[in-house]
Amino acid sequence: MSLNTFNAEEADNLEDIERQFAVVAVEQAETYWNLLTKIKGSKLRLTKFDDDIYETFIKYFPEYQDVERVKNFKEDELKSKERKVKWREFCGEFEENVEDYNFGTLLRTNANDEYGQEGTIFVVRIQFYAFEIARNRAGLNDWICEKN
Amino acid sequence: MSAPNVSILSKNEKKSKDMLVKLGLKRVPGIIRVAYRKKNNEIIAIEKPEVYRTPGGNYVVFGEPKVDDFTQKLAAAQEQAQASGIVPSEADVATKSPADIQADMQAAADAIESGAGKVEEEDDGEVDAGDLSNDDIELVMQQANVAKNDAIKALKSHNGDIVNAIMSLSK
Repeated sequence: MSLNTFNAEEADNLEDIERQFAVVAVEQAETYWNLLTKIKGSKLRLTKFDDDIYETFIKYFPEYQDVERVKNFKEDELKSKERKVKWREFCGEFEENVEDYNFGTLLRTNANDEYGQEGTIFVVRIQFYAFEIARNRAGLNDWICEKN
Repeated sequence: MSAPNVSILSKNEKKSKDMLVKLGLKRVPGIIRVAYRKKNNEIIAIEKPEVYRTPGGNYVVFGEPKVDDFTQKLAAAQEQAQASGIVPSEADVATKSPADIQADMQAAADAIESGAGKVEEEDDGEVDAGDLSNDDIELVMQQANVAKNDAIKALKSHNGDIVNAIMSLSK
């Protein structure tokens, strides 16, 4: 659930709110993973704006047309100083349309791995969409469904 | 439909009311009628109820429940009209035997018990799917284990975002 229903009157202390933030991120990851075990990633549509997100992603970061780079990337590619500036611009494009575009979200650095202690990083929702939409389109997540 | 006038204000009920007040429940004044709408559009109504509100925002309702099955009455009336060719007056109401009424009352009482007296807002009108794709709706129905209408509503309120829709339903 988005935090829009958050009621300031009934809020506990700050610690609990921060924990809630992590809880939502984990729930989102679990829900997404469950989806991938039920339906092939290549057939999955995540939002109404998948096409927009993908096009903008490639426009800002043409290097990710290379399937291998979408499949497996380094945290630095998202979080180094220079890259961050570019990513911030990219994120701004979706401020209006995409729900929770700036929510903290877990993302696998390698499409061949499950969510785990290693290889899972913390990004914003729109970065998650960008990579996972690209991976799904390339069929990189189909193995999760076929495994069962 | 006239229901037999049963006194339900037992000793136990009085006791439980006292306890509820001790637990910090506040009486909500001025409520004339509480209606529960069930999935099949059956309406259970409590006239002149006593309503208490918990600090957490849940409600406890005391009163005499009556089944107010509007759609069934309507269907019965239509059948009658077709069969006889005339518009029936009170015929559909009169066909209800006392046993039927008893059964309805029992069903209503069971429903109240299982609902633990909690007021739920349910809206079961047919929901327009709009431009949502059928695949998405089915996926949400399966994953969150909900009815079609709920799936459509969740998808709409999350602007077609499947993961967010499922998450909101599985809370």
